[in-house]
Amino acid sequence: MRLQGQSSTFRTLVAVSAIAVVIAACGGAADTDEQSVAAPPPQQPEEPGVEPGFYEGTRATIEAIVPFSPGGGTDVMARTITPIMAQYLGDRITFQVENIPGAGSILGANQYLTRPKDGFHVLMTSASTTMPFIFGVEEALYDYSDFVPIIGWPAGAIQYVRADTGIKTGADLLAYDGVLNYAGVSPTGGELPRLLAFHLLGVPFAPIFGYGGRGAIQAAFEQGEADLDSQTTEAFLAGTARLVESGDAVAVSTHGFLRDGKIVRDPAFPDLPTLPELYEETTGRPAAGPGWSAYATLILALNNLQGVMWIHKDAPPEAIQALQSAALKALPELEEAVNLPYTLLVGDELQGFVDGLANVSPEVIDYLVGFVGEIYGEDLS
Amino acid sequence: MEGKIMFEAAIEATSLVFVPSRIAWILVGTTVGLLVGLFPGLGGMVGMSILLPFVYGMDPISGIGMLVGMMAVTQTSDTFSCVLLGIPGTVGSQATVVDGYPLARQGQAGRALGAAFAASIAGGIIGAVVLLLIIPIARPLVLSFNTPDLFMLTILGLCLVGVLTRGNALKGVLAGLLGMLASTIGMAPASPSLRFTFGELYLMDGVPLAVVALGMFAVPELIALIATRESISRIPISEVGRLREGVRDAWRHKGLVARSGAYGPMLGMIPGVGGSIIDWVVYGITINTSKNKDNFGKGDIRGVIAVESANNSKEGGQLVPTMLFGIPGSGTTAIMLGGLILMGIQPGPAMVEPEGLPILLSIVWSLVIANVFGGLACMSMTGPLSKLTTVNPGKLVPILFVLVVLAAYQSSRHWGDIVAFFAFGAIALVMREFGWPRVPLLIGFVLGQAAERYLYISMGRYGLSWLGQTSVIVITLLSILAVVVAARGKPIEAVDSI
Repeated sequence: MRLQGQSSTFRTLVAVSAIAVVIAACGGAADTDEQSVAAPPPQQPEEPGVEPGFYEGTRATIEAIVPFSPGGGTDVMARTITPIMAQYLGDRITFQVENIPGAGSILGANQYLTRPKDGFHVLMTSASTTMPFIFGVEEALYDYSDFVPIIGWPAGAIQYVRADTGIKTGADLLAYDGVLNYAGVSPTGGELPRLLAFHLLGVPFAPIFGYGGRGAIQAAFEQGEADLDSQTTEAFLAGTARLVESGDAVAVSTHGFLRDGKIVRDPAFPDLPTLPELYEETTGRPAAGPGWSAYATLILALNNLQGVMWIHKDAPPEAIQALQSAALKALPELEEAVNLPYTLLVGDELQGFVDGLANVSPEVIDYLVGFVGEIYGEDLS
Repeated sequence: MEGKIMFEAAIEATSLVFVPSRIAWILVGTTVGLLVGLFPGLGGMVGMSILLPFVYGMDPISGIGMLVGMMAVTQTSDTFSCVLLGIPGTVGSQATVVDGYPLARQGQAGRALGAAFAASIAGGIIGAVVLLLIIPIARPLVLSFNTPDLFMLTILGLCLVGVLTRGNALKGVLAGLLGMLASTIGMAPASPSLRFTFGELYLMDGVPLAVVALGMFAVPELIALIATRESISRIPISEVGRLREGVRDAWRHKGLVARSGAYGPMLGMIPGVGGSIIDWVVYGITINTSKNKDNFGKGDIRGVIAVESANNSKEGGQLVPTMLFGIPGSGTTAIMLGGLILMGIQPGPAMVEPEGLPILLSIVWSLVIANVFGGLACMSMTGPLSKLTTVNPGKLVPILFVLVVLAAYQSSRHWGDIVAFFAFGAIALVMREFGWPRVPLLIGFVLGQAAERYLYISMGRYGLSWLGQTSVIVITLLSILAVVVAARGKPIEAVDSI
C-alpha cells in the first residue's frame, strides 16, 4: 500500500492531519493548563522540610482502583485528587486510575484484595462499597478493618419539595394534606437515611423507586412526577439550587453530619434544620432510640465518609506514612481542586470515623434489616 | 430564547471553535473514533474510556471537541466492518449489515461504502442542525415526556421493529420476549433482588450489551464464512470508481437521507430508548414507506443509506438529555458526562442559558467538523480496505475471531464476558439454522430493561391512571398502527442477517 498510488484526496488528508497534529502539539493559548494522569507532574520546587519518604526518588506508578465505570462521582474524584497527591509524594510518581466496575463496586473492591501489598496499590471506595461491608453481604470479601484510610471526603444531602405543594418549612412536611411523591433509585442505597427519617417523622410520603439516576430524578421533580426529593450538596448547588432561587422549589431539611455522637447541621446549609432536629421540633421528644441510632450510623457511613482512599494495612508502614503525610500537605490544594463546601478528612479525624464504621453495633444492623424488610419487603443481606 | 441571543452565541461559538489548536483536538478525537469504529465490536465506550484520562484539566471547548469528535465518527467508520465483513462494527450497526454485506458479496463493496459515507456525512450535519434548532425548546420538550410516555415509547419501538419479521411474526415475537427475559438477568431496577444470576458476581449487572450483540451476530457470520470457504466477494473486487457511484446513489435518494437524518435526533432524544434500536426503527420505517420492497435484505442501497444517515444524526439528539439533564442516553454518553465534569462543566439547565450556549454550540460545530472529516477520511480508506473482501477466509476468520472475542472481553474484562459471548453465539447459531430472526431478541434485550423500569415507576406512581393519559393513548395508537401496517404487508423473505 504505497502512498504513491493513493488518490489525491488521501494524500491531502494525510497532509492536513499532519499539519493539524503539529499545530495541536505546539498548542494554542487555550491549552496551557492541560494535565494528564500519564504525563509527568509539573516541576515544583522541593517543599522545605520534606523528609525523603517511601516514594522519593523512585519512578513508579501507583494503581488507584476505582470500582466504578469511568465518569462517575468516585471516578471523577479519583482523577481530581490523584495528580495532586502524586506531586507531594515524589518527583516521578504518578497514579494510574484503574476502573473495575461491577456488582455495585463489590467486584473492584474484591479485586483490590488480590493486589500486592507493596504500597503501590490503593483503593477508592464510596457509600455503595461501604453498605455491603456493614451488612455483611457474603459476596463482599473485603473488610474495612484490613485497610488504612488515607483521605476521605464527605457529602451532604439536602431535601426539598416543589413549591406548588405549598410547603414552606420542614415542619409543614408533616402537616401536608395529601401524599408527597418521592422519586428514588433503590430503598437500600444512599436514600436509606432519609427514608428512615421520614418514616420516624411520620411524613406522608410515597416512595417510587427504579429511577435511573440523578438526571432522571431531577427531570421527574421538574415535571411534577415527584414532589419531594433529595440530592447531594454538590448536585444541588449545580442544578436544583436554581429552582429554589426561582421560587419553584423549597429546601426543607438536610441529613446533617455526625459529630461527637450527635447529628449537627450541614455547614453548607446552616439555616436548614436536620431531620432529627425536625423530629425534636415537631414531637418535643429527643431524637433517640434504635431508629435514630441507626440513622446516625447511616449518616456516618454515607455522609461523613462518602468516599475514602484506602491502602491495605499490610503495605510497608513507610508507604502508609508517606501517603498520609502527602494527603495532609496537599490538603489546601486538594480542597481547592475538589471545590466542595466541606473540608476533606485526613489523619485522626478520618481514622475516628473509619473506626466507627468498622464497629457498627449488631442491634443497629438488625434494626435496619428489619426496617427495610418490613417497609419495603426487601432482603438486605 | 431570542433569536438574537442565539445568533450572537452562535457567532461567539464559531470564533471559539475555529482556532487551529481546538480544531486539532477535534481531529484527534475524530482519529481515535475512526480507529475505534474500524475494529469490529469496539465502539464509542472504548474510545471514550481511552480519551477520558486526557481530558482532566483541559480547556472545555477543546476537550468537548475531542470527545464529541470521537463520538461522532464511530458510526461512520464502523461501516467498514459491517459492509466488508458482515460483522457489526459497533453494537447498533447490525442494520447496516443487512443490506451492506450482500452488496459486498456482489462485488459492490465500494458502492455500498460510498453511499454509506455520503449518507453519514449528510446525516451528521443534519443531526447537528436539528440539535441547533431544538436547543430553544429542548428543555420543555424533554420534560413533556413523563415516565408513562417513556414506557409507551419503548413499546412503540418494539412494534416498529416488528415489521422486520413479517414473514415470521410468531417467531419474531417469541424472540423478542426471549430477549426481554435475557435483559432481566441481574439486579432488578428498583430493588436489590437478583434474578438468574446463579450466584455469579459477574451476572449481577446483567450481560453487557456488546457481548450479546457480538455473540449473536459475529459468531454465526464468521462460522458461515469459514464453512463456505469462499472469500466474501465472489466477484473480483471492482475499483474505487464505484465509490463515486455510491455517492451518486446517496444524492439520488437525498429525500431518504434527509428523512432518516431527521428521525435520528428525534429518537435519540428519548432517554433510555438507546442508540442501538434507532437503526432498526429507521430501517423498519424505510421498508414500510418504500415502494419497491423486494430487494431489502438482499442488497438494496436504500437500506444502507437510510440507516447510515440516521445513525450519524442521532448523536446530536442523544446529547440533548445528556447535556440538559445529565441523563445519559448510552454507555458512551455516560462516560462523556464524567469527562464534562472533569473539565468543570456541569450539565444541566445552565447549558441553555446564555452562559452555557457557547459550549452547546461548539458541540454542534464539533459534530459537523468531525462528521465531514471522518466521512472523507473513510472514503479515502475505501480502496485498500475493500480488498479485505477478496482475502481467503481461512486467513481472515481466525484474526477476526480473536479481534471480536477481545472486543467482547473489553466489556468487563472478566471471564464471564467470553463465556457469555460463546453462549449467545451458540444460541444465535441455532436460531440462524432454524430461521429464527435474531434482531428481535437483541431489541427485546435492549428495550427490556428500560421498559421494565418505566413500567414499574408508572404503576408505582400513577396506579392505572396513566393508561388514560392523552399522550399515552396517542403513542398506543401509533404502536397499533405500526403493527397493523406490518401485518398487512406482504411477508418478506426471511433474511439470514436478521
